[in-house]
Amino acid sequence: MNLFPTRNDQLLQAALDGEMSPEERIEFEQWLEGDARARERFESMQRLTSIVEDVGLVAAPPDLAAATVREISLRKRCDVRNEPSARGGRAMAKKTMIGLAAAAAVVLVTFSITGYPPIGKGTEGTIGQANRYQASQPQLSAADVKLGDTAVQEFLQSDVFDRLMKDENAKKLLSDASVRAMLADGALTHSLRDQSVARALDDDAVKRMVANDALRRAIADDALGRAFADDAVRQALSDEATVRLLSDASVQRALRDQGLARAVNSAAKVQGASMEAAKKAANNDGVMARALKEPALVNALQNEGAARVLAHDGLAQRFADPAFVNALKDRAISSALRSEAAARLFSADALRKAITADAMQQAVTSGLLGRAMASDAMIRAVQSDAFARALLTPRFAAAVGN
Amino acid sequence: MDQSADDGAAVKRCLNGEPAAFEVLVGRYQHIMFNVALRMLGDYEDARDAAQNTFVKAYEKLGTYDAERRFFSWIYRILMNECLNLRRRPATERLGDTEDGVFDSSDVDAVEVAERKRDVRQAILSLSPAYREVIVLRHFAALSYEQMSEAIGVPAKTVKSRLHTARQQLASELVGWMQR
Repeated sequence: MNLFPTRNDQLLQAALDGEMSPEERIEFEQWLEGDARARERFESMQRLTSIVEDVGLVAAPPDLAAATVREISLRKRCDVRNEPSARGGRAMAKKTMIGLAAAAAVVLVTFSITGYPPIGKGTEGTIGQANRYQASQPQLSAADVKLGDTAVQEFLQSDVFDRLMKDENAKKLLSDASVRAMLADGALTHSLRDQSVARALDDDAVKRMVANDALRRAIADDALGRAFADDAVRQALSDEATVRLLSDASVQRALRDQGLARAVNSAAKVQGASMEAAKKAANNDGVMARALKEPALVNALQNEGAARVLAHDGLAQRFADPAFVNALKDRAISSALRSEAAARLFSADALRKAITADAMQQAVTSGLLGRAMASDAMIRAVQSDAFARALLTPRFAAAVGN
Repeated sequence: MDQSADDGAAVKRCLNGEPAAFEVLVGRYQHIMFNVALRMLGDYEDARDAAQNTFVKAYEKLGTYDAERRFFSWIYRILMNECLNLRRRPATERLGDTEDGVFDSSDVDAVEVAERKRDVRQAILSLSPAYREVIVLRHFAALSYEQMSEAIGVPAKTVKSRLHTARQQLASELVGWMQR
C-alpha cells in the first residue's frame, strides 16, 4: 500500500532525504523539469528542512559522562546485582567465593590425580598440567569429583592456576577438608566461567589473606566463607588494619551471628559498611567489634534498604563513631529502619547520596532523624508519591548534597 | 552511526568484566542521546536526566543487548521510555534563551534568527511523539529510513509516511518563516 498521497509526494520526500534510486532520480528530475509548481514546492520543503536543521545540536552537559559513570559506580557499590552480566542483566550471585574459587584450583588438581577429568581427546595438556603438582597434594576420592566441562580444563591450563599452585599458602588453604566441602556447591562450575573469579585468584589481597592462619581458618568456616565471597570484602582485605581485625576472634564471633550473616549475604550486603567500619574500628579501640554485636545494628542490616544506606562509604565511616552507633540503638530509628516506608525511602538513590551530607549525618547522630521518623506526619510524607518522585529526581540529590 | 562492530566489542568487554569499556559507549553516544532527548522533551535538565538514566539502565541491562542489533537502536528504545516517563505533561519549550546564547538585542538579524529557532523548536514540540521522533531522528540524529525503522521498531514505509505527515504539520506551523 502506498502511504503517500501521490507518487510525486513520495519522490519529493526521497529527494529531500537523499534516499533515491537512480531510476527514481530520473523520474523526479523529469517531473521537476516539466512542472514549475513542483519546483516551487520542492524548494519550499528544502527551506523547511533547512530551518529545522538550523536549530542545530547542543553540546551535551560537560559533566554528563562523568556523572553517568559516577552514578553507575555508586549503584554498583550499593547493589552488586547491578553489575552487567553476559548471563542476562544481573551478575551471578556473589558465590564467586574467594575461598571457594581458590579451593577449586587444588581440588581440580586432585581430581586430575584421581583420574578426573577423564582422559580423552584434548585433555592431555590438562592432565599434564595437573600432574606437575601431584606430589604435594592430598589424595581425594573420585566421589568428590562433580565437575567437568571445558571451563575446568581451561582453568587448569591458565596462568592464574599455574601461579596459584606455586603458592604454598594457597595450597595449605585448598587442602583443607572443610574448604573442599564447599565444592559441593553447584555454583562452582559457574564460578570458573566467571572472569571475576580468575581475577580474584590472582589478586595480591587474596594471597595475603591465605597467608594468614587465622583467616585461613575463618574461610573454612561456612558462614564466614560466605561473607568473604564479596568483592568489597576482597578489596577490604588489601588493608592491613582490616586483616588484623578479621583475625580477631571476637569479630569472627560477631560475624557468625545469624542475623548479621544474613545481612552480609543479602544483596546490599554490608559491603563497604562492615568492612569500612572494620577498618576504622581496627584503629579505634575495637568500637566496631562491639558495634557488630549490637542487636540494633544487626536488625538494621537485615533491612535491605537500610543496609544499602548503611553500606554507603560516607556513612560507613560513622560506624567508628560511638555516637552514631548509639543513634542506631535509638528505638525510634531502629523501628523506623525496619518500616516499609523506610525501605521505600532508603531504596531511593537520591537519599543514599543525600545521606552523605554532613547535615544529614548530624541529624542521625543527634537523634533528630529518629524523632522525625517516628512522627506520623513524616511517615505520611515519606509514603506520598510526591515525596517519592522528588527523591528520585537527580536534582534533588544534588540540592541536598549541596 | 556505522560503529556496530566497535560497539559490540565494547559491550563484550564490559560483560567480560571490564566496566571501563562502557565509558567508551557513553562517550560515543552522549552527544546524540542528549540532543534527541532535548528535542523530544524541550528542557535541558530533563534531557540531561533522561540521557543519564538511559546510560545507567543500559549498563544494568547490558546482558540483554542483542549484538545483532545496532547498539544505538537498543539504547534509543531505553531513552524513549525515559522521555515518556519524564514527559507526563504537554511538551513546551522551556529552553528559551539558554539555547540561543547571548546576542546583541540591537542586532536585528540575530534577534530574528533566535525567534525563528525558538518557533521551530516549539513547532517540533507541538508534534505528537510519533511524528516528533521521526523529525528528530532524521534531522538531529541523521538516521536513514532503515536505521529509523530499526530504532523505532516500525517498517520503513511507516517511517516514511510519518515523516511526510510530520513535515506537512511543521510546514503549516512555520509557513511564515518558510516564505522569508
